[in-house]
Amino acid sequence: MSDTALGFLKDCWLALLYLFVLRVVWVVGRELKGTPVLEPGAHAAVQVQAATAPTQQRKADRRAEPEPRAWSLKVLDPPELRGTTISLHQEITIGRGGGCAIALPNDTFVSTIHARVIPRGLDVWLEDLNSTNGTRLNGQMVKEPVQMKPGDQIRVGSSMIEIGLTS
Amino acid sequence: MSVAAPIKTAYGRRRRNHEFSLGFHAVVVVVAGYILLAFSKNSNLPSDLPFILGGMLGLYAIAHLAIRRLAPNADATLLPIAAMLNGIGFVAISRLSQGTARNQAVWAVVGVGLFIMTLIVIRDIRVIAKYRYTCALVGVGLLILPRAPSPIGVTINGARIWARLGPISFQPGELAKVLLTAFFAAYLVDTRELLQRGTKSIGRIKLPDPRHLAPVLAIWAISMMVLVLEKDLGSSLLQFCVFTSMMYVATNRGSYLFGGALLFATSAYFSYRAFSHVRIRVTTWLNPWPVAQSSGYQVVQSWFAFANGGATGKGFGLGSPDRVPVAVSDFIMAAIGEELGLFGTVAIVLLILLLVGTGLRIAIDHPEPFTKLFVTGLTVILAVQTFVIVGGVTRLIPLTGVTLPFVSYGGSSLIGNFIVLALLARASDSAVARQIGPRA
Repeated sequence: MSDTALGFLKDCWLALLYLFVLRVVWVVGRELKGTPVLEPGAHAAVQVQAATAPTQQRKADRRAEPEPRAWSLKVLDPPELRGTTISLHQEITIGRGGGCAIALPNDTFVSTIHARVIPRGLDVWLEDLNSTNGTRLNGQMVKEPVQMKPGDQIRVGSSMIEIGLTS
Repeated sequence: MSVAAPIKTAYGRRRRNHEFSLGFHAVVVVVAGYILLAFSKNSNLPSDLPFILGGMLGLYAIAHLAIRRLAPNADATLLPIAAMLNGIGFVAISRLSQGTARNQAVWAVVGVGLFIMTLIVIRDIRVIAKYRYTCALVGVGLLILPRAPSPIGVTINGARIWARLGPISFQPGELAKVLLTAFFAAYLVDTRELLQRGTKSIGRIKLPDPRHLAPVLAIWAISMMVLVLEKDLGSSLLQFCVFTSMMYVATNRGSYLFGGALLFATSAYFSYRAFSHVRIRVTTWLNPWPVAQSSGYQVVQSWFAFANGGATGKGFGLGSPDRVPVAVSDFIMAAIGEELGLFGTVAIVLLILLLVGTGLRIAIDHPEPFTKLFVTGLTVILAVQTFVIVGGVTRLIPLTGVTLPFVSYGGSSLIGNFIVLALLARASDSAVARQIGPRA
C-alpha cells in the first residue's frame, strides 16, 4: 500500500480517536448535568432494590394514608444535605459514621455516633450519646434525655436538624 | 457496616451502557491501529489479528462484566479511557518490539486480573483507613526492598529500583506509592483540624504543633531518602507532589502549598549541589546540544522524533522511533509523537486529563473524608506522573524517568495503575450507593 494511502488511513484513524475523546467528554457532560446527588422527591429515576432505603420508605409514606402523628427530622445544615427528611418510625442515630440514619460525614465536630432520637408512644426524645462536643436542643446543652416538641432545633457539631410533626 | 449486595440503579445502568459502548469504540480504534501498522509492512492483514482482536475484546468484556457485578454504579469513563491508553500503548510498543509487546499483553491480563481482585477484596474503601500503619510500614518496606542485598535488590539501567523474587523482577515502588497515599489520607483525616488551625504561634504566623506533624514528616522523610538513595528522582518528585497536594486538600490552607514549594526549591538546590546525576540531568535540560551524543542523546533523539512527526505524524510504522533509546517505556510519547504527530500526543494527554478529571470528580462527589482524600492522592499521582514524563521528553522540565500511566511498557507500573483504577471505580460506586442505599 502506498504511503499516501497509509497517511490518509492514519488521518481517518486519528479522527476516530478524537471521536472517542469527544464521546468521553459528552458522557462526562451528562454526568455533570444529571448529578447523582439526590434531592428529596427527585428519585423518580432511581429504583432502589433494598426495601429499607429511606427514600423508598418516604415514598411509601406518601402513598399510604397519612398517619395522624408522624414525627420527622429535617436537616437544615449543612447546605449539601439541606432538606433531607427522615420520618421517625423507630429509634435513629445521628453521627458522622456511615451507619447512622442521619450521617454527617463532613462535619468534623460530630462524633461517630453522636446522638439518638427515640420516638416513644406519641412523644419523641433526644439523647446525647456521650459525644465529644455535645448536643444542643434550642441552644440548651442536652445532658440527659429530653422530650422534644415540633419545631425544636437540634444542633450537633456545626449541623442543624429540625424536628417536625407531619400530619 | 455490613456488605450488602450491590445496589443497582437506573443511574448505574446508564453508566454501564456508556461504558460498554465507549469500550467497544476503544477496541475498534486499537485494533484498527494494529491493522494499519501491519499494512505499513505489506498489504496483508496481520497474522495474529484474530488473537489480538479476541484478546482485547475478551479482556475488556471480562473487566466490564466484573464492574457490572461488583461495582454497578462506578463511573463510566474509567475503564474505556484505560483500555484506550493501554491499547494505543500496546500498538506503539509492538511497532518497536514484538517480544516486548507480547510481555505487555501478559501484563495487561495480569493487570485486569488484579483490577478484578481489588474490586472483590475491597468492598468498602474505608477499610483501608483501618490499616493505615500497616500501609505505611509495608509501603516503606517496599521502598527499601531494592536496597536489599543482591539476590533481592537489583540494579537495572542505572536505577536501583528493582526487586527480584524467584524468576520475577518488579519495581516495588509502584505499589508503595499507593500504600503511602493511603496512609497519608488516613492520617490527614485524623489530624487535619489540628493542622488546619495551628496551635503554636511564632510572631503572626500560626504553626501546627510539630507533634501532630511528626509521623507524616517521618514517613515522608524516609521515603524521600530512600528514593534519593535509589537515584529514582522521578518517584521522589512524584511522592513529594502527592504529599504536598494532599496536605493542601486536607487543610484548605494555601500556606502548605507555599511551604511545599519552598521545601522543594531548597531540596532541589541541595541535591543539585550534592549529586552528580542530578547535575547531569539539569545541564542536559538547559542545553542538550554539547552532550547530544552522550547524556543528552535520548532527549535530543526524542526531540527529533517529535519534529519528524509534525502535526499529524508520519503514519503507523513509517517513522523511525527506534532511534530513541528505551522508547517503549519512558519515551513512549516520542514514539507516538513521531508516527501520530501532535494530534496523536494531544489525544493521549487529553485522555489522561479526562481520567484525572474523573478522579477529582469522584473525590468531590464522595461524602466521606478518607475516600475523598485517598482518591485525590491517587489522581494526583496519575496527573503528576504524566506531567513529569511528558514534560521531560519534550524538555519542558529536566528529564526524570517515570512511566506514562497505562501507555508505557512496564509490568509493575501497569499493574499499579490497574489497582488505582479499581480503587477509583470502587470509590465512585460507593459515592452513589451511599446516597441512595440503605443506611441501616
